[in-house]
Amino acid sequence: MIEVAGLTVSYRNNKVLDDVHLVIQKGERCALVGRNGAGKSTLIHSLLNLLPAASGTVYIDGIDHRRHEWKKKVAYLPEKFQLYPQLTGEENVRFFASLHGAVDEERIEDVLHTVRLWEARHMKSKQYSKGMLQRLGLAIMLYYDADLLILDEPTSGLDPLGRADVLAILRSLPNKTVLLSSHHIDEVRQLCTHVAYLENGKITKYRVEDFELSTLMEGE
Amino acid sequence: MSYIWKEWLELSRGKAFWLFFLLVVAASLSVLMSAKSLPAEHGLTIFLQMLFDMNAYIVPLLCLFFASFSVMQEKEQRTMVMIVVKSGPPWMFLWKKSAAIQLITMTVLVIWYFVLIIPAKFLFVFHLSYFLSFLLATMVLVFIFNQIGIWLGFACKTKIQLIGANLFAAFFFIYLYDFALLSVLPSVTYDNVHVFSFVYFLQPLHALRFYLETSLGMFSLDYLSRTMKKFFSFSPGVLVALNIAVWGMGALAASMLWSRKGEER
Repeated sequence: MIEVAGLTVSYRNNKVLDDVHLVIQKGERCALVGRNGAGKSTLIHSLLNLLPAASGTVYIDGIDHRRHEWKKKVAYLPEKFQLYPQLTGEENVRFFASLHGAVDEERIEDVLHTVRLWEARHMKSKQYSKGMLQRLGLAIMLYYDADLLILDEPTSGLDPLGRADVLAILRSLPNKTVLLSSHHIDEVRQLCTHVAYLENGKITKYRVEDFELSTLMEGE
Repeated sequence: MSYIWKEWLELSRGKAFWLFFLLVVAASLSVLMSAKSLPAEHGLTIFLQMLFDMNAYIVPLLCLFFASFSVMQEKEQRTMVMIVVKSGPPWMFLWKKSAAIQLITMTVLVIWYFVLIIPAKFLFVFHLSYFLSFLLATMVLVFIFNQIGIWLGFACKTKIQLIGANLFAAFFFIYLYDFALLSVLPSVTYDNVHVFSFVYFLQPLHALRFYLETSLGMFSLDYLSRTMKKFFSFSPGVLVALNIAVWGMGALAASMLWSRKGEER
């Protein structure tokens, strides 16, 4: 589903990603793990062609990421998003749904029920708690019904109940390829089949059962 | 269409837009009040000229802030990346965002000026062509400064930077440009006045004022000295089109370059 080869991304003469190779197969749930500033968000942005790469190739479902045909197959939730604060939850979903084609009102209702925001659909999203906002973002992702879900720290800043809610929603999605960045090893173990560990601009991929927390601690 | 609908909901539910509108309404009404004692025959031309002069100070600043903060919010709220990842390339987002901002600001102002012209119609002899010239001049002003604001919104990384850039842009067009021209004025002669004229009218406020004054019949191009005749040799319509191309389209092109760069870190 994702093939990255020789990806190098520099920022002010500093190589954030250095000749990165990564393959994520269809149906895999891969966590992107690494220290703060290791380049997790940079890698995600490069995959999505939001950042220009110095060299390397990225293919999403066999399509070069510089083309736009892959966009229908991907749903992306950035870190610390806020959506449109003056729009209600339902209006936010409807707007993002309209980017995908004709708006399906039944589907909007379905996804809002799934993330338990149907009752709060008429509230402006600025009145939502952090957890509700995160679930609203997930509702938008669910609406797209994309094959590949990319999430940048989806549980960052959430309380334990909020985290549990988000994880439950993500666990309930069968047959999806997922790439998510996370600092929480416990949620990685609950959700993912693989771990891509990013350090010094290089990536090492593990099966989740082979990944040891001590790997992260070695450099402490 | 969904962009326009979304933009309208976002703006109309926020206080900033209505403060923007209230300021224009209050300033316009004060101009109407001060113009009501003018003679009916020529009152409309003077009223429209005064209204445009008031707009020349308020509208650029309001459009710069309004458009640039709208783009900055898209960046800060991370909605821009969500849109760009899901729909087309960044320039398509920019195009739709520009269209939405332009359409909303222009529509609201046009509606207001149509309301304002009703009492003016009872006070002065009405000429539709004068009113349409005024509307055109104001809409070009709105277009250019909205587009510059959108560019600044993409170019700046923080709100504080953006406030500084907006104030500088307004200061540049309202004062700095004229100060620079004043400094070269002593060396303007008959031989080089054409170049000076071109640079002078490359300022949208000058070009639009010239267009409006000639359209309203307030500025006669007869009985001018040779140098002044050469200075005013460009057609007002051409000058307005030139300003739209240089500032409006230039800012749009610059935004397209920045729209991608703006997402980097």
